[in-house]
Amino acid sequence: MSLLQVENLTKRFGGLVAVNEISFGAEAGEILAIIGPNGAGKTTILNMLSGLLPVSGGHIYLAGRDITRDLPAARCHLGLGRAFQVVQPFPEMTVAENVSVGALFGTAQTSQQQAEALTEEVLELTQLAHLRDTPAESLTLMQEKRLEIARALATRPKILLLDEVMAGLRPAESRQAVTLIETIRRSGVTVIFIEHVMPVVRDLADRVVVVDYGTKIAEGSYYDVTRNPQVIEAYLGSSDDEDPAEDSVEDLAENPDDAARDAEPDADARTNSTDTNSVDTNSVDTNSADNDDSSSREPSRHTSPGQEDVR
Amino acid sequence: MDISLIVQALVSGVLAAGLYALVSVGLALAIGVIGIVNFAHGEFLMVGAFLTFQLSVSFGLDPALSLLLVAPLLFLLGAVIYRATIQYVLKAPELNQMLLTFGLAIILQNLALLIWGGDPRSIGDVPYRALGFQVAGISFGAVPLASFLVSALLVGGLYYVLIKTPIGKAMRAVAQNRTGAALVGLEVNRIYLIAFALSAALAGLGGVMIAVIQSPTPVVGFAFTLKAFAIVVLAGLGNIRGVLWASLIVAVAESLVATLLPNGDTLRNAVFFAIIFVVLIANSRRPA
Amino acid sequence: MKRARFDLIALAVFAVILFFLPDLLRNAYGRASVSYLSLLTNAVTLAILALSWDILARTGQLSLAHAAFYGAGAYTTAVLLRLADVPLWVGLPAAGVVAVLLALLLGVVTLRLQGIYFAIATLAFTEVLRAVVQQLPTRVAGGAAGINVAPLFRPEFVPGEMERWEIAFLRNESYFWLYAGLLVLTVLASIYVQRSRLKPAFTAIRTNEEVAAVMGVRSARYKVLAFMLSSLMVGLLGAIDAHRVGSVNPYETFGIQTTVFALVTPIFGGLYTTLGPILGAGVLAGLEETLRRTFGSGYLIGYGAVLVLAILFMPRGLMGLWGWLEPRLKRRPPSKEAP
Repeated sequence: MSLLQVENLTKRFGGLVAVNEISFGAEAGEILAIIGPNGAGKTTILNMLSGLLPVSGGHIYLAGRDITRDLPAARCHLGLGRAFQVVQPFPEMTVAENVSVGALFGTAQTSQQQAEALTEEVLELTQLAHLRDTPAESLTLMQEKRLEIARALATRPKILLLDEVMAGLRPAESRQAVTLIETIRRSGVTVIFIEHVMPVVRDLADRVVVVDYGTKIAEGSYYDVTRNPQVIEAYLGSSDDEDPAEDSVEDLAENPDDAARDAEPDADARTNSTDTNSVDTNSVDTNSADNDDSSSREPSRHTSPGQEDVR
Repeated sequence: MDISLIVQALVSGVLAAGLYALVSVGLALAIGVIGIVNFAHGEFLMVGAFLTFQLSVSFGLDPALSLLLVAPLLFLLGAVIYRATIQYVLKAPELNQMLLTFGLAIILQNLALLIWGGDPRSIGDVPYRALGFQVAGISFGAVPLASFLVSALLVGGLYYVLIKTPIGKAMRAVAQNRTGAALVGLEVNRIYLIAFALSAALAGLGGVMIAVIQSPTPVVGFAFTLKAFAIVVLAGLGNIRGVLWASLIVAVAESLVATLLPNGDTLRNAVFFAIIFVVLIANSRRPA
Repeated sequence: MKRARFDLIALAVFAVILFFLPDLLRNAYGRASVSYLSLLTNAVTLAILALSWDILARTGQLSLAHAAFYGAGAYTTAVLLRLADVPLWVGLPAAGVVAVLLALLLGVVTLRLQGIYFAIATLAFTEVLRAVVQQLPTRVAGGAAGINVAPLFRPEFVPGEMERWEIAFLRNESYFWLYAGLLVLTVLASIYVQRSRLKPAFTAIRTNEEVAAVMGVRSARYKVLAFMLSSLMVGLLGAIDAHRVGSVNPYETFGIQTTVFALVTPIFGGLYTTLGPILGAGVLAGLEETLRRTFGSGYLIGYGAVLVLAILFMPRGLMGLWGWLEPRLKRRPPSKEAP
């Protein structure tokens, strides 16, 4: 049996089925990507995996044990780490204190000394050691993303769930993040990540699960799924103004904002607070995301290296 | 059990709900539009009540007429308090807002205590206080009925303002999205000012009715603050329509208990808060 | 751990000062020391209220139920002494136990409520508890009239050896020591929270409960623990107050003013610290007394004005003021280092 096994996972919000009987597994040591247009239900899946949302149906097994009803903290103790899409450090704490929360409480029994050593180790690994005593509220976005991953790592996860960690990063930063994730995998941690930046998925993922409208439509290697007609249809089909001449998801993903924009129902509103249906928001997003402090913290759902270069 | 007794209790409850709704809707406005946790809200009601009392004593002004005077005066008081204090804590933590408005409540309460003393103050002879009529054995007091109608009219008026008028639309826009509203050129601070002043005026009008229905003391306001908060929270923060339902439920329950249980009158508050407690807990336990 | 040791030494000094203070006052001021002692007692009880509330607030639970646990403690000792033939002092530990059990109950059912919803639920709990106590059989809890509570201390008047006022002083001194002991206990609890792993747990839960949970913090456990710890202190305070005041009744014993003071003081002094609520209590108690003597009736207007001004001009309380002042004081010497 896989390290993490998900069976018929379902989430309904009122009448809306956000996630519909999805099953997949993650083997120990692999990197699994979950991709799909925005609003497909990816973050909802992660929220159910980490226990922040109760499931409407289905089961989640971690190392053979049914954790479907376990509380988030209990799942963390069993080895499920989580980094959020919208970075949310504890603002009153320093970088080291933020990480030490994970080190202290991530497993059931940890002494103060063990936690301190672990904190240092993780700070080194994530290149945050020099920012140890900096208040978390004064970090740059890249540093915040590192901190988000560092905190999750400090809980000593067997499986690390990463939600769009590349969003909002510049190409160079993005490459650093890829290196970091590879390092994490080499240390024996299984990684499950949601990503929009297709080159990152190509470089990192051993396997890819594609989700659309809450349903799994494909699973396999990056090469396989990007040539799967159903996947191409999902990305193209949800686009109003995309040039139909485009024929591969990879090309699309260089500019995924158009593809992803109109497919987002309320289901993901918990984490994606920007209103994708409003014309105002879109124009603000594309023109001034980097200037506006609040929107730069929002998950930018259409960031890819190619696009960043234009800015 | 006598069925007419129950019907009578229901009627009294519905009539009392008007006043609750009037006071709570003002607080919902402050919380929903401005996002301010105002623990001085009931004090506006208290000030309205004592103004009515004073106008009656000094000038023999009929309470019904003082409605017309109290509303603008309280609007002004609300505006002044907003400009002097509230506008500086809009982004402060909830606790700071609570302490500030507690401070305001203490000031207003003790000013009233200094001016009018701590004893209940009753408006002498209101000619229509004893009036009333009966329909099929159910009696309708003129004062509760009038208070209900005025409240209904005011709450309805507020709805109209919020839905139809430019300033009301602006308020709803600000309530939904502060930055967005600012982006399309709404003067957020001015809208807050008007909303806060309006909320004070609505509470003040509630005070006019309190002056006739009860004999108010300076502490009458705080009790209403707590109850209005409870109703607003029961309705869901900022949900103005929910306020009507919540007011109706708690007022009818209060009335039923007070009428039907032996020494039920002492249980009014308990029933009110028991409902709030149970609903809040039950709601929080419902799976998402 | 060094910081914890410093805290404990400071607390020991503080405790010694509190212990000797009454007699120092008596020697210095004679008869007038009675009113000084009562002011001091007000400050200490306010500090207990404030610090115990702050401990709970550190987990983000903004409770309006402090009066409920205060009242529960007071009524426990009162009812116990009335119904059962138990020694006078049994009431205090019993009050602590009842307050803690009630906190466990309320803490568990309100776990999922946040912010103002939590606040209103706890307020509602207080009002319901008040009504329940009032509806208990008169034989048990005295109904609306309440019941009398025997004093804990009855100093004997020795003619010739002491003056009349000294009886009042001796009695108040005994209560003062009891309160001071409770304050020391509360400060110990607060230091423990601040210097152990409870601090990161509480802070994480307060700032983002979901993230804390995903990082392995069992938020329910810590939130309920904070509730019980906080209520233990305020329940004991209520019980001692019941003995000192000599009676309990539903209106005053469960009065909202207990809750109001409990939350106003830490905000004024500085939230989520040990020193802030204590400083706040000292300053506010002194301020109230000064205003009362200066202005007589209506002095509370000035009190309210101070609260308003405090929020407008020192939003982070007295502790925030210190944080602003400290770097400026330290910066003065460098003039010598100028090249």
